[in-house]
Amino acid sequence: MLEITDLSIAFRRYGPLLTRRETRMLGPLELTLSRGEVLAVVGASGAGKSLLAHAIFGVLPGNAVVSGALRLDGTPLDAARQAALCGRLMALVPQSITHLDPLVRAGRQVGWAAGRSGHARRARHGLARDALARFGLGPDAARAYPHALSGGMARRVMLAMASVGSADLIVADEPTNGLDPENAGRVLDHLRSLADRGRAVMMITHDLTGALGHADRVAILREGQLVEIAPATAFRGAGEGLASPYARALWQALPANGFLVPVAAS
Amino acid sequence: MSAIPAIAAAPIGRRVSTLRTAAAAALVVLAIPAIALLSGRAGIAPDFAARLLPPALAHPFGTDPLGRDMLFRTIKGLALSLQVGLVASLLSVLIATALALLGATSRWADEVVGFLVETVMGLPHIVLLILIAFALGGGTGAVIVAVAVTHWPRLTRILRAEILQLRSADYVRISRRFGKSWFWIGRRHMLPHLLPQMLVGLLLLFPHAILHEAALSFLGFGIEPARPAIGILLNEAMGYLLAGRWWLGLFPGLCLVGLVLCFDAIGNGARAMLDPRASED
Amino acid sequence: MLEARALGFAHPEGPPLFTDATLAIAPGEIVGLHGPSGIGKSTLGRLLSGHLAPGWGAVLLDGAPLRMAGFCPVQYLGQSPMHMVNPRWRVGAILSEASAPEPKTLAALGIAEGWSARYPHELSGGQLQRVAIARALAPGLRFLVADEISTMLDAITQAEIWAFLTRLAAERGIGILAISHDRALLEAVATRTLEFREIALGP
Repeated sequence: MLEITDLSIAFRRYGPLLTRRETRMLGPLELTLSRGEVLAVVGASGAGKSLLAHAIFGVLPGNAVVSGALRLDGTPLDAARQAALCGRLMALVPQSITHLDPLVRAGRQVGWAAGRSGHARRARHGLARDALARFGLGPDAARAYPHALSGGMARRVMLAMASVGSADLIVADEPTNGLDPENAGRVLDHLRSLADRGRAVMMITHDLTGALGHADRVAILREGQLVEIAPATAFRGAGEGLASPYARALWQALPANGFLVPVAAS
Repeated sequence: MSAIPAIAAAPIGRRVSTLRTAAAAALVVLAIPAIALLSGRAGIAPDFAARLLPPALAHPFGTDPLGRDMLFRTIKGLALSLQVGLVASLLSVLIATALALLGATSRWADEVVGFLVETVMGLPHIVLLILIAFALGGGTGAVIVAVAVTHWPRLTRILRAEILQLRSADYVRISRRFGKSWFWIGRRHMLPHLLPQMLVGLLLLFPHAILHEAALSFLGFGIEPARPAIGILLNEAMGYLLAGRWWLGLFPGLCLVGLVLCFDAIGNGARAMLDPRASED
Repeated sequence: MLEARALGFAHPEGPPLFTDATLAIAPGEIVGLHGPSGIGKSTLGRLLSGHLAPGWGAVLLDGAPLRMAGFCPVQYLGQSPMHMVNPRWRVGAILSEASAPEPKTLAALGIAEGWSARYPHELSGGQLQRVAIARALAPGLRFLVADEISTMLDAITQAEIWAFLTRLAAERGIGILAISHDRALLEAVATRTLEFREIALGP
């Protein structure tokens, strides 16, 4: 449903005095995502993962220079369509709890999201309640203000907001950051179930291990470059199924897989 | 994304235009004392053959009741304002820095400084100015002192917040555990962060200082009436406004506003240069 | 021997985070400290390295209270190296803040000579973390508190950094407290792992 071709993102910055530089932060990269699939985009901080998400939704800062093409269901996704479809056909689950309005109860904010996706005012309350219930949140959570929610609950409220409407494309930016393993697992399960119900899910994370259990495919980003897109099942054993040496080294360097330092790097 | 232009010739950035404006403003500001110095007694020596002439080619700003050229009187007035403003702003920045540093030494000192800031900010500016200038007997020195001791609170607040933030910064804590003294940390870790704030603070204080100097002189608590300060010019013009001599007040007033705007532009330019966060367009 | 004896800490006007943290680290030992995020592991690490003053209890080095003057033999390494360095300093100045770094150490950490003239924001998180480690390795160093130092880094950089620290512990006898929520990492690097709940919050 989502096709990304030749996407690259650069930033214009001022150097000393008036010199201006354009630094390429991401790409060029190609990526596709279909319904029913979870694609994990994995990379260290600064690899350009969040930029990818922000480019899809057209919310990059003003000094970003973007080139390439995005297509959603075959139609070019330009700035106007991004603005029109955001919250309707596609939804972003942001990284931090500060994206919730601190002065509004959680349930009402999920109701807003339902309204944004075109549901009638009367239906919103019920939809919000059902969406929260899908993520294991009861009426207490719906009545709570964001500051009273734990990190895991806030994350689930934001997931409910993203999925309450009919968004077919859901992009989650670091959905498990700062969560303990139990809560992180629950959030990932929810993302998986959204895909199983026919939506396309892109999960942006720095945690390769966590992503593997829930994703169909894994895209590895390194310093803005797409190193490899491999099926999640290729990450096993000594990584023989992985095409690129970097992906293999990354896999073998995990503490549970030998904690190996690549020969060339050390 | 197809509608978004590819990486290509970038338009002139906001920063370039900000700095261009700032440079032009700086030229204007520097030209004022230069002209005032080079113009000798123009605008000071009376010429009774040319009293109260309206603006014309020979006297673009007209002449005053003693036949003195208003253009040169205005420029000399602005030059005087600049002198007073510079000394007063510098003193104010020194006071602000000293108090902010003092506040960092102990909780008790911090509360005293906080109380002083609140008090001076809470009092009406102009009343305080008049009281101080009056108590000191008027004159240029009194204006400088009055402006200096009323304009430090805002910058003190900014510097104090910055110091508080720096003091709890991880790299300062690490530096402490490396055995560095607070003096060393202040000089090496904090000063590089505080200097730009002080410079921008100085530039932004300037217009305030100039306006308040003019106000004090206008009200008769400031600079000696014999000197061509802008406030004095405006005060003199009051008596002639009803008689239709509008040029006596209009041009000095406009020039004062222009000078203030120049400093605003310079301050913005300095901020664009010094603030690392402004490196993004 | 670095010891925490019945350490407690509370933020001003807040409830105590913990009241009774007790642990001991021997020279050359890598001790893991595991627990979920937000539970107070970082605070304990900062108490041990003198970044915070304890509300209760004491930090003892060889049986004597940790000295607060001069170079502290216990140094703290944090999760986000960008916050650990002055953004207006060049890397060369950062590296030599405590003492001039040994070329051997720089080489072992993969710190290139060319970094010296750069500013922190011109390095990646992994490069900056290496710089922060090299800076802490002054002659008087005896213990390191490594608080989630590789959480934000990719697995390869993580493996390289820990390979270096493991060697450091073995060769120089530096004791390391490795704080992490990642059990697999602690199993790979630590000689023994403590559960924060058990050592700090009591039964």
